Amino acid sequence: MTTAVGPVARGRGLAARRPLRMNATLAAGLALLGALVLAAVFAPLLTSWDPIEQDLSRSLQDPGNGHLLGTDQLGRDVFARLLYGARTDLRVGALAVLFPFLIGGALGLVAGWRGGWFDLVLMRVVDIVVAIPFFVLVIALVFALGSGTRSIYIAITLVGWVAYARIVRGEVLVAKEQEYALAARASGLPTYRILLRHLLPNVVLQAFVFSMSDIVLSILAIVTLGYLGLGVPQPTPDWGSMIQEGQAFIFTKWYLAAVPGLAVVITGLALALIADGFVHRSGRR
Amino acid sequence: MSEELLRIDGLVQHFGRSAGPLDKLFRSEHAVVRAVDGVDLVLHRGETLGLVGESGCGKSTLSRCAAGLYTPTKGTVSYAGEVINGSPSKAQRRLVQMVFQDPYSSLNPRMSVGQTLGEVLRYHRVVPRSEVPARIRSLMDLVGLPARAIDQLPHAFSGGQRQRIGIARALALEPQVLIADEPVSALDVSVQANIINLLLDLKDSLGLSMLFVSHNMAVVRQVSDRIAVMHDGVVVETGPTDEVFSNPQDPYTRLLLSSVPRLAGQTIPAVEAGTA
Repeated sequence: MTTAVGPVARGRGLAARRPLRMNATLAAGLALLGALVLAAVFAPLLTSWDPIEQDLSRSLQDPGNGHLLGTDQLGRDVFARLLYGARTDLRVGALAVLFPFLIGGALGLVAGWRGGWFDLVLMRVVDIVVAIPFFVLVIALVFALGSGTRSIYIAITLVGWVAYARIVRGEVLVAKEQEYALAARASGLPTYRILLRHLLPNVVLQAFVFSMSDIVLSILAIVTLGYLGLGVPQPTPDWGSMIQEGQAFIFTKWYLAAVPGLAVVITGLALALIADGFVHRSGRR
Repeated sequence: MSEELLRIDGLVQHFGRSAGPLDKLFRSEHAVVRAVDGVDLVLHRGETLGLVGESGCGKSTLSRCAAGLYTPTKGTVSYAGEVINGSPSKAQRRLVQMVFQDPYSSLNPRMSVGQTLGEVLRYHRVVPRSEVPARIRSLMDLVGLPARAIDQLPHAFSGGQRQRIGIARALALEPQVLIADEPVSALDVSVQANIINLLLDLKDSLGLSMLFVSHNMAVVRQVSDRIAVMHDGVVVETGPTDEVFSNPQDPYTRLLLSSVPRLAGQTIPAVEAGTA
């Protein structure tokens, strides 16, 4: 009846490795992300160029001559577009994950706890959404809703919640049979309290770790949508459209596509470090 | 005989995929585990009833039914004469509390000792809100934990200390019945005696009744007034501890007793050939 091995092993692991408040991985990730956010927030202080101002007489200039990273084919300053693009991409990436996280997490929590019809129906809906390729669904939704950042949020939320619902449900199925959950029930605590106070803090980590990589996936989704002309409307600077515009010059001005690509990689690295740091801090796996 | 605090009548608890809505829809056949298959038990005020049996015989399931955690498939569980069947009221919850088997999983890893105890004290309004901190300290004192441990998370404690926290949590609601499901089986032998003595002291000082579940005959013999022997989901024998140990009636009880390591000079009836 009791599942002896899992909980004991996990419990001992916790006891043996005391979680640290902060660790190098987490600190590095937070520092990196912090730097990106600061660069986005204080973009006007870091560059005097306007990211959307065109100067066709100065297009495709090499780095230097007042343009730190040169100019693109419309003569816009690449460094300025990179900084202002961070504003767009970090915001869209975070928001496009926040809503799926909250909605999917809440549904998964209730489904895992209650089981029965609610669980059955919800999981079949999840199966259906998962069965359709991500981009086909997102593109169809953005197409139906009209392009723009709001449509991107809605489309990614409608598709993205399923991952969180699955992760949280699975964790709840395990956690609700743990003796601390039984103990909470034996104490007569109301269901909402058991869910929010006892289960949620113990199941949210997996979803949180996934959300970190999901932010990068969202940014990539925006990049892809931008490539297809369904992304952030022009002329708002964003890394996706920069990569798309830069690829035409990949053999001559390779940095036009590589620099925003590197920005996506660095963002992903920062988020991955944060996720790892949290896992390490909690002492799990 | 004194007042019946906990009564179990014809309790049947089956597990399986029977709960699945699709199974009901299609009336499909499903494998069922008959964890408890018709058990009658009574726990009187002030007594300790030992429930023994090998692993997997349904002891834990029975104790969880008794704690109101499962809705029985058949039969009834009553607290002080009132049927509860898996959904005891807030007041009835306070009557019967449980100490769990595995101290490594029975405490929420993200809540400090003070939070764990304070939560139940506040929710059930055991004491006025202003007196909760004082009550937490007195509970910790009661189970032999230092008051400075109040803000620490479970990982900071040893298995024995964790089990003390579990006991304090159960006692926070001032129950009359304590169900202890293998409370020492996950602990080091050196710590087992401490926890058992703590439970016995608390039982005497607080006037508790106890359902003590264990697979360890020696432990059960030490703590119990009466014993119920469980095998394959049914209780095969009940009686006063001394009687069951000196004159076991059921063949399975004899088998269990014969498996206890004994000291020289101790007499425990041997299993007759063929009865097992």
